[in-house]
Amino acid sequence: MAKTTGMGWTTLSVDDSSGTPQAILNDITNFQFSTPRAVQDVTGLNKSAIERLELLADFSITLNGVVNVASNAQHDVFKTVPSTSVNRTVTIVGNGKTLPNETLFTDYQWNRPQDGSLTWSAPGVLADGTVPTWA
Amino acid sequence: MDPFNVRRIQPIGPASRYKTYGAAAPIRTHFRKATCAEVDCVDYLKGWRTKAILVPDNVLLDIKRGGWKFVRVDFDGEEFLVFEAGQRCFRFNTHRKRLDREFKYLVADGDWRGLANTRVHTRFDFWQEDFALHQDQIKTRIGRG
Repeated sequence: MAKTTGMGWTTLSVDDSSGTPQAILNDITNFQFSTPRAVQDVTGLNKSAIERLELLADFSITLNGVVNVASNAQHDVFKTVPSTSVNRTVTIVGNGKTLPNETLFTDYQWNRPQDGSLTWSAPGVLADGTVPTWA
Repeated sequence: MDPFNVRRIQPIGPASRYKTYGAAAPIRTHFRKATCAEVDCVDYLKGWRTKAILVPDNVLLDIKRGGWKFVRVDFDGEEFLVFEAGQRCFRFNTHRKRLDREFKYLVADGDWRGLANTRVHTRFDFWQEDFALHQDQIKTRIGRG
């Protein structure tokens, strides 16, 4: 393994509606990427192979963060989610390795809790059925 | 886990069949309050205006006490309070800036419907390796059909 720094995760970018990736890592408080478990757990005795394959390609993504309305920051990216049906590439980069995901975002919400912060949430699912792999 | 009650496409299987890789930088520990200038706040950069009729007397008093500078201007017979650029906006309290601090890297069973057995990786590369091996395993399985 090559030498690495302690800085770890360096980039998270999400496409805006025109397909241009925007780096929004600094606006993120929370990121989840849910994938199927190991396949042994997935396949029941009475389940068909087709169901297993569908489940294998089933991924979901959740991004949470603080609202940033500056130009090309997270709000510029997600404000078109309700109006534009477009697949967006979510890319995670760290240690020189990249994980790209073609994602369809299904919502974009703001939340203003009592502590005065203004946060947002954007859930999505994998759009093209290709398993995202680190490369 | 899901404070927003957002709209999602339901996964095919139950939560127990999923595994989640996540990273967290909670506002309490990874962000600090920031000024308008630090976050390129639009109101701060360009100024803003509000209809005078929408500002009750007590709010007007607060605005004056808060030190905001404004002028009263008539646009088409309606009175507006026009705030000049370069002063903090009314939402200055909500501005946050990320601290230069590493995320917490998590691995857990389940998905957004419920998480269990959360493990924390101390370094990004350990989390990345775990993630990469898992994805590779799934890809191999699909390849076999």
